[in-house]
Amino acid sequence: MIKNRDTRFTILLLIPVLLVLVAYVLYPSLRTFFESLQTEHGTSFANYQDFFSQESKTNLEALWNSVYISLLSVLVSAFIGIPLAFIFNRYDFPGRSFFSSAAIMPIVLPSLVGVMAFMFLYGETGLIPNAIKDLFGLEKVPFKIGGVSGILIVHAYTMYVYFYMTVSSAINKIDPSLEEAAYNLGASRFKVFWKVTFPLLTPAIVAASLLVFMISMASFSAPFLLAGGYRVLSLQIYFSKINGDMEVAATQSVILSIVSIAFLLFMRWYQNRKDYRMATKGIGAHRSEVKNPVMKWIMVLIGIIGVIILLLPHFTILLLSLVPDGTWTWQTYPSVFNFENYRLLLQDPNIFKPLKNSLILAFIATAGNLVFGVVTSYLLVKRKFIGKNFVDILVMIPWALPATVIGMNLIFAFNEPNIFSFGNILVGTFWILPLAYFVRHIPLVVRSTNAVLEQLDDSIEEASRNLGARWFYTFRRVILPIIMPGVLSGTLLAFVESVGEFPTSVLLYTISNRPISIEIMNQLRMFNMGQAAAYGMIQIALIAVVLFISNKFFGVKAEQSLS
Amino acid sequence: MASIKIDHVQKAFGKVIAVDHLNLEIKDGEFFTFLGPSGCGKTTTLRMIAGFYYPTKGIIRFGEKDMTRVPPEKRNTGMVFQNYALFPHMTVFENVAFGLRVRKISTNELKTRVQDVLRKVRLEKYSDRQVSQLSGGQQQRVALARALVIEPEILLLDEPLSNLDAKLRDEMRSEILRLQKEYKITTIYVTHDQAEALSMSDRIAVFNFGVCHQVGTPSEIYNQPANDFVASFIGEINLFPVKVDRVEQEHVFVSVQVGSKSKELAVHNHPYNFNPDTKSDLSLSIRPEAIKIFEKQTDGTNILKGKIEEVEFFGSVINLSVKVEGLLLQVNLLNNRSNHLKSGADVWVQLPEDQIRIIPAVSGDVT
Repeated sequence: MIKNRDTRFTILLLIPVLLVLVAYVLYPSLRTFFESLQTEHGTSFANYQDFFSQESKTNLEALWNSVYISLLSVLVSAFIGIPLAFIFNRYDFPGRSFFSSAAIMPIVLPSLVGVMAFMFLYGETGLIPNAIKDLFGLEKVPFKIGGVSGILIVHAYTMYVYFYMTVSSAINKIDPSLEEAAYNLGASRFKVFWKVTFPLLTPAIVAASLLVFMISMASFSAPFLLAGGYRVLSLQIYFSKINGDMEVAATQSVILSIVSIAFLLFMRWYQNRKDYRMATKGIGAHRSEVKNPVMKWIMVLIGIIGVIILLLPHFTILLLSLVPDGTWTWQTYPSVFNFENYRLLLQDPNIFKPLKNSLILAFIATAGNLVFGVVTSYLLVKRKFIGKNFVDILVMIPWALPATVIGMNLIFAFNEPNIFSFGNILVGTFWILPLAYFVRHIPLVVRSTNAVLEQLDDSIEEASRNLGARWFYTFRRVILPIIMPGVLSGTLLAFVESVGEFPTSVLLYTISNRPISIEIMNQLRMFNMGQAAAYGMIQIALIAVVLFISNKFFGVKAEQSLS
Repeated sequence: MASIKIDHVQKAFGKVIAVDHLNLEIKDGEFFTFLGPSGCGKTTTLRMIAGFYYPTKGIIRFGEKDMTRVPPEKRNTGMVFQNYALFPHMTVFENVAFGLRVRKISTNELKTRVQDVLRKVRLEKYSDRQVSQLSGGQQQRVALARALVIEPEILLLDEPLSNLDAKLRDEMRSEILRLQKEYKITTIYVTHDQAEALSMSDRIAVFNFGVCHQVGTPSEIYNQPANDFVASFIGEINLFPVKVDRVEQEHVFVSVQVGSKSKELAVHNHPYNFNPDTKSDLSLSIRPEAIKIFEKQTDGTNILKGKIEEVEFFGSVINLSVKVEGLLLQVNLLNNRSNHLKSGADVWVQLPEDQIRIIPAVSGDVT
């Protein structure tokens, strides 16, 4: 047998990890692929031929729309995020630190709630267009968002943050002496920027671009709610499933997966190729104070306007949540405000149930994520074994796959009994949603745990064992307490994301077990904006609390927990 | 406390052999140093003794017990890591108490033992501090206390001083020696710093490329290096390839290539100066302080005429580089305030025949 007891132990830990990954990540993906090969006339690539044939214009159009919107989202987000990162990290002016923390506010808005806020702010009956109409006595609303522009605006609002954060952290990691060295060698400001600073930022910019591209490809809520009828691939999958065209849904899923995974692989390759990490430690921020008073106050003004725009969606949700349902019907603006919606939420069991459901589902999923994440991450970071790359890729797959695809994968895998579901059909039961949330957040928890474990020097574990502690004692008393803050901040984030999870929920929920996001949808359909907004506020509050806890008690910056 | 016996040990990582053919015996209570450049196998050997690696071949014994495959937690060794590896989430007291808690020592005894060892490392006032609030030297002492409090059979020190600045390093050197004497504990000390090795050790093993080249006391290692690697790694030395011309009763005559000519030098025929049973290439070695220097032409054996290339002033010592045609000789002189040697001056150097050693040249072989 295997002589080395450390190797034996590694294998012992590896078996359950591999089982989970194969059963709930690999097998469902393969199952979808096989489903896509099923046709009336046996197994073939006919579904793919159909997808790309001229007759089925909708599919190609949806694929093109997805790519088109994603590319535009990258451009728009970059044009907002990169300059902001520069202004807030390189210049000092009154209110700078306040503005820079306000700049990450979009992340406390769950995507579904964010889309809802934009609808009420800038849509046909939105508050802003109507306010302008009344203010200037116009005949019609001056503008409304919807269609492609609507999706783009929502994407820009939520996704510029990725550019802002990654570029900010890259700017702060640039050793000031590099730029000083360039000045010292006689380079002009312009030259220093284009020849030194910008090249050092390219890895961050490329990483953010790919991230935004992938998130846009997967985007579901914005096209679903804002752009009625605008076909993107993630939405097409949902419609195919609703219409019962399961093979078509499978084919579309596979094609969307291939695009996403291709981007993931490209990203990994690019990140490995360019390594600009610098060995220097303790780099001080070097911001130049804006001295020109006109410039200074212009910047402050822009900052204030920016903050208002950024916080308007949050404020709108808050406002709507205070409007009792049935009091805002034909009026342009709501007139009655009270806490009726919150009272109902707490007192009416029917209204409270979705919130309770979501909390329970998210708790189960996240507990799984915590245990699985810690063990998997420990294996990946601290142990050597053959096939580590394979495990690493399996862990990353749910990150690359759009949520809609993960939902479809689970449908195909567990709408029939198999050994991985212990002979049960999971689709249509309580357990399918926690499983979906669990799979969705495997990468988040593993990666956030990896980050802290990589910081932990191997000698800490060795020191403990040298002092006579067995592995389990060492893990419990030394490793876990040290990594817990980082692990918990990742896990809490997974928890709040699970609470708000929409795309997989809409594919997998059961009537008796509706999560909060589905109930928001239902309330919106019934024009109960107030109740929907109250649900949204609960989610915003949860996210804010989690970010606050991570920041205050675990010393984890909000921006770190995202990347 | 225990003696350690390393018997024909080899350690391979994949195809790379990190340690090969290692045989060592470390005596009970000895302060033993593994010395060598980085990547020479010294830390690998230490980690095999600690149990973090298992040897590919060979046996490691503590006393009579075979420890080759015993896991690290059952070896009762105390290790001080290069980066100290203090537990960042614990106070000084908790760090030191960790090993005792694992051993389920009663609370009362635990307290006395921890306080006792903290007093010995002069940190009794810091027991409630977080380790991050300590300076480098203090962290080092916590690491020592943590290793000593479990009363290990063997104390393992992995380059413990390399992260400290020069002044602290001197201080901790004597601190470690004091504690080692007090606990009379078998100690293995890993370093690449020859000054540390020479000043602290009872015996030293010199490593290079996974092979142990010599084991001996500091003065043996310095005065009688086994080969040119040991000679050049420890202290300054002049080394030149030589060929043996003839061996006589009193002297051995060797020839050195000086420029285009070959110059014959006489060496005492004494085991210290000439060890004939070797088949490899030979080197002539002589320490810079052993070379005599004259400003005027002098009679005697092994006298060579040269020119001073460079004078480096170090206070107590003056280092000269003397060019003798093709050869560059390093010469150290004590500063007796009467030297007026300037670069460019002609000088005569004498290589005393009882100071020259003819040793095997291995540096070229082992790669």
